Amino acid sequence: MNLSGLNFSALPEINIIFRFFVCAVLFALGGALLILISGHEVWQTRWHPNMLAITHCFTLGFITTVMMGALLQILPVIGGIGIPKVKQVANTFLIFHVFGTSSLIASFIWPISILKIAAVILLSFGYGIYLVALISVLVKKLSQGSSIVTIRFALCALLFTLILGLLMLARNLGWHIIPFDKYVTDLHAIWGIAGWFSLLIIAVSFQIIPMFHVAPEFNERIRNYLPWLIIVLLLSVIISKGHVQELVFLLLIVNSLFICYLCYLLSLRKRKIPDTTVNFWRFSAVSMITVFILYLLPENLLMAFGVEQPTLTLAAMVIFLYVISIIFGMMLKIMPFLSYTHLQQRCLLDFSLMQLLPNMHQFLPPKHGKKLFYLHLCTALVLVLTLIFNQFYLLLAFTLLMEFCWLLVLLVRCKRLYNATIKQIEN
Amino acid sequence: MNAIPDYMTDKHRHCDDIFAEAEAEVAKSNWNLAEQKWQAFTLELELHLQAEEQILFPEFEQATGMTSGPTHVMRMEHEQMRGLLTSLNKSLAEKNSEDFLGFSETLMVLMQQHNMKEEMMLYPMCQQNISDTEQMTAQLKQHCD
Repeated sequence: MNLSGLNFSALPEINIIFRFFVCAVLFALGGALLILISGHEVWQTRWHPNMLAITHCFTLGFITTVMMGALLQILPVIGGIGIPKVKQVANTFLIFHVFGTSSLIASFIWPISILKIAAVILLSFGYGIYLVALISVLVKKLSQGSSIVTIRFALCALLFTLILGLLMLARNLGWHIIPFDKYVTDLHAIWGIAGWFSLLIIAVSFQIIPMFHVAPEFNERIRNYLPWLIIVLLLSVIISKGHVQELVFLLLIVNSLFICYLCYLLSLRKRKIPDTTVNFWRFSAVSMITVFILYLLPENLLMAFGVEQPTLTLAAMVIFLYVISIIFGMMLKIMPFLSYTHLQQRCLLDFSLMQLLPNMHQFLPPKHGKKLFYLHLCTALVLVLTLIFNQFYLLLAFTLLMEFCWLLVLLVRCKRLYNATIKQIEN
Repeated sequence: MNAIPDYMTDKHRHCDDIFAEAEAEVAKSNWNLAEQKWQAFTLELELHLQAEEQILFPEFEQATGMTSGPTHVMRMEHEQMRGLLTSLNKSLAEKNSEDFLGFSETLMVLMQQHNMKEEMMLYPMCQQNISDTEQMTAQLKQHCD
């Protein structure tokens, strides 16, 4: 065993993680503002340029930014090793990612070449740097097998999603490397949602469900085979062009079973104290099952219920009600945990300073987390209403603004307490 | 259960169980029961930490020659846990459930992260580097049980 490979203090600076989280929230707020100014017609088709911009505000802007930030923290904890020169890599990536994603979003609204070229260049460089740094770590033999294997799959899915996205952008610039085909866009969305998002959620769940909730470990077979099953299904989507619907159906079954099993494990958790994160997990489970049921219903029945854009509706529900719910729940745990862990490092040479450290609930009071959950429920309800009755879009923009502003307040509050404690420690 | 990782991991789970029971009683404001469970937990935890610091780590350090490596970090984390225990004891004495649950969340996360490092890395390293692991496990058992 390689003893020198152990790295117990590879945590990146807390400022870096908070920077990622704040940028993510700003993208979501940007998405809410876009909904506000775009009018009700954007809800009539997923191909509307503003709808594409809004979608990318939440997927690439919010979800991916949070996930890329969280990965910097997760790898040292579960893999025992961090990426080399983490500060430079993270800061460089974030700058390229923020400007690249902003250019991409702007290019949907104003389809001018310069924005598309900027998006291609900035996103390619940014993700190139980050992914090379991550791959250099992930190719090594690391501890925590199933989580690391699943993270590797998730990153492959991210890479594939990005390449498809960049190729589609290039096509819009007149470089016809791939043909114009709705199938390519579907592939991009399926690999992004069922690959990158859901595989990373699964990888992280394997660790944080037992760790934060003191719940039983995931069944070994699930840990070992579920990620493989998902990646095989995703690869099958590429080669069996005529059977996308059936494969999406299977992906929905797998994800529904996963989230139900996760909730079952949570029901067995030893810590039976009120916890908003558990509510977020349960809500995401209900959402995923609802999506699965809706997917089974024939299109004419959905139409009868007022769902005129089934693909848009189901994608919006998976992204906002499933993925973002889980991310919110995780952030409620990660923000205070990170703040405390980093402050603790400052006290290693003088344990008497530990009495200055706030506890986790002081960083993020449970009642504030609960408020975020209620705001999220409210937004989710209005989103469903807007998908059926498009006129509700103004209310949706308002609830989104409220929800993400509140998340920003929680982030700032947590960081301010962190800074105040650092001052006390240094004095 | 003669392997070091198995026995020590089992002790971690046992500590988690009693900790969660104490926490649940505080959440329900059952202070008497909470006090009993909490005393049981602190005793169990202290015995476990002592077993590592006085028996397991010295043997590992002697076998590998690493005195400022993982065991050093683990010892520091033990001190952090003990620091949190002081705050938790105070909250319990004052019957302040809000403070108790804030500190217990903190201790739980700290413990879980710490346990993960030990279970995934340190204990397997001990198992691999210590010559008579059965004898070592017996010593650990004698101290803890």
